[in-house]
Amino acid sequence: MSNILPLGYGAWTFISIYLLSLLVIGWFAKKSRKEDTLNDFYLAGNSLGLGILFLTLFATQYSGNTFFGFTGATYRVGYSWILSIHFMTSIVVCYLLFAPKLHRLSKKQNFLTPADYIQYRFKYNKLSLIITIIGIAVLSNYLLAQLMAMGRAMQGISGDAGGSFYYIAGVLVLATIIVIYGTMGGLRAVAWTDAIQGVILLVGFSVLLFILFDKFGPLSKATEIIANMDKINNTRKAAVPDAETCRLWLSYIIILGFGLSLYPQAIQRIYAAKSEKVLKKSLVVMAFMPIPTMIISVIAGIMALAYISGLEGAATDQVFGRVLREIQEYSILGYGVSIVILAAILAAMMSTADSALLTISSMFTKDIYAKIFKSSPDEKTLTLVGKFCSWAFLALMIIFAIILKDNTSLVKLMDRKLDLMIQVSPAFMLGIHYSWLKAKPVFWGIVCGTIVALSIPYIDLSFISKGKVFGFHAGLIGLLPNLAIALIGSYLKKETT
Amino acid sequence: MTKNNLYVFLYVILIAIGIPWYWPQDSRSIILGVPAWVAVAVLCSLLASFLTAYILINSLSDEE
Repeated sequence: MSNILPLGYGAWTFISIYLLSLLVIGWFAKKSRKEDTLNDFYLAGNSLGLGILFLTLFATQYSGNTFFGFTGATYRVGYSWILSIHFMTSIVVCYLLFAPKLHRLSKKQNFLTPADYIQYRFKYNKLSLIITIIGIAVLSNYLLAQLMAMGRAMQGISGDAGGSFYYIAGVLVLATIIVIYGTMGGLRAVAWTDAIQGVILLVGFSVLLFILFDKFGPLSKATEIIANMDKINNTRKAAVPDAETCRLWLSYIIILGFGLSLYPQAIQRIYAAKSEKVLKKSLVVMAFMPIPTMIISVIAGIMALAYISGLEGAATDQVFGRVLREIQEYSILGYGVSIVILAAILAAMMSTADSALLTISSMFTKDIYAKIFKSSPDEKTLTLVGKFCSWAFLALMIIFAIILKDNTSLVKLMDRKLDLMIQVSPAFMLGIHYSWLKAKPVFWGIVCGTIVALSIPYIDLSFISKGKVFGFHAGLIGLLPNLAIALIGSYLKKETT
Repeated sequence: MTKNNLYVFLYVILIAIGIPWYWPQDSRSIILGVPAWVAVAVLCSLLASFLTAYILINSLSDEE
């Protein structure tokens, strides 16, 4: 966002009111708490209705990356980033494989964390622990990335792109707001604020589409310009993708579908739904969200590709900021719209960060602290530990976000979250349907798959490029031995017993 | 073919049509202002959304 114009008083007032409203919602959520239990704090007493459940699923699934990353990706690769519609749809399709059954079980067994289900199903501590560790590692990376993006966003809107004061202030202020409302009202506060953030996101995206067409003209013109650029530069940004891109396309559909649907915060929302009917109805609406949301991201990238030239490498991630600047300078209405979109971007980052923080806190409290450090703590103590954990963990992440301010390479190094997350899919998606699947083979499958997935990017072979094998993600390659060990091991164990 | 297998089959078909691996590399056809393969990819995604919604709604009425 280093390209947008500095905001005036009116815009700052709008954003301040929005941020204050989050704290007010946190206070109301605290007042609505029915009991001092982990279930009430982390799962809102399993009371999320249709509207709130849909909006919290939406706001959690579509992060700040949806604006920045995806518009930037379209600018880099062209029309083939339309594959993002497919992978976002595949997430909802993958929910079909396990979510309704998992929800039914969670109602009966009072699950709180993903490891609760694993322990109930497999009764094997090591398996539960490895799934908790993978979950916390993935979410920490997610949280850190959002905090750094918040700092950069604040840098951008203050007009102080180079300095560190607004970056640090942005990280500190926004993170503190998140942890205050999160520890006041738990999932209730997070889901309610997600609902507001979801609405801002939807409004921001919709208005953006109209402004884009109004400013840049029809899509056909942009397509023609890009096709001509392809001829001059010998690129394929409007042309049919080559074979490797098609393999990458398929790889994205599988890894994002299986990986993102198993994010711990998504699983907790499956638990928190009021009923199976509510869960299924929310998923029906979610099934249609990728098309409008991703199309707008892709159109923004295509318009930028056609009309804003000269961005290369890492600067392409700033292309959304450039589009916003064009809109700001276009008209007074454009300026107003850009403020709503800025609030939507902050909303997208905050809603992703608050969900990740709350889930990390629940996993640490229930799956690690309660099991290792204390034998049988009461629910009130555990809830208190969870709140303390949220503050402590966020403080640690803030320190990392400040230290790593100019060093994004470490974040990229850790950015193997989907490769990691997909390794737990046999435990959930097969384990929930097939009783013959055994704990130890599933555990060793995850260990082996994780080692393979994390090693591939460092192997120097001609068919491995950018951490992908023939265009397929390392996580998918790791899933092959993972599945083989889980299935063959379970079959052999069945034969011997 | 069971109902679930049919659903899996339909998703596989939609993925196979949606990913433009079979398009001629020099295709320049345009539909609604975008390359034709993009329009087909979006259409397949829309059909997958409808199929998902149908499966979910169908399972709701089965319960009732």
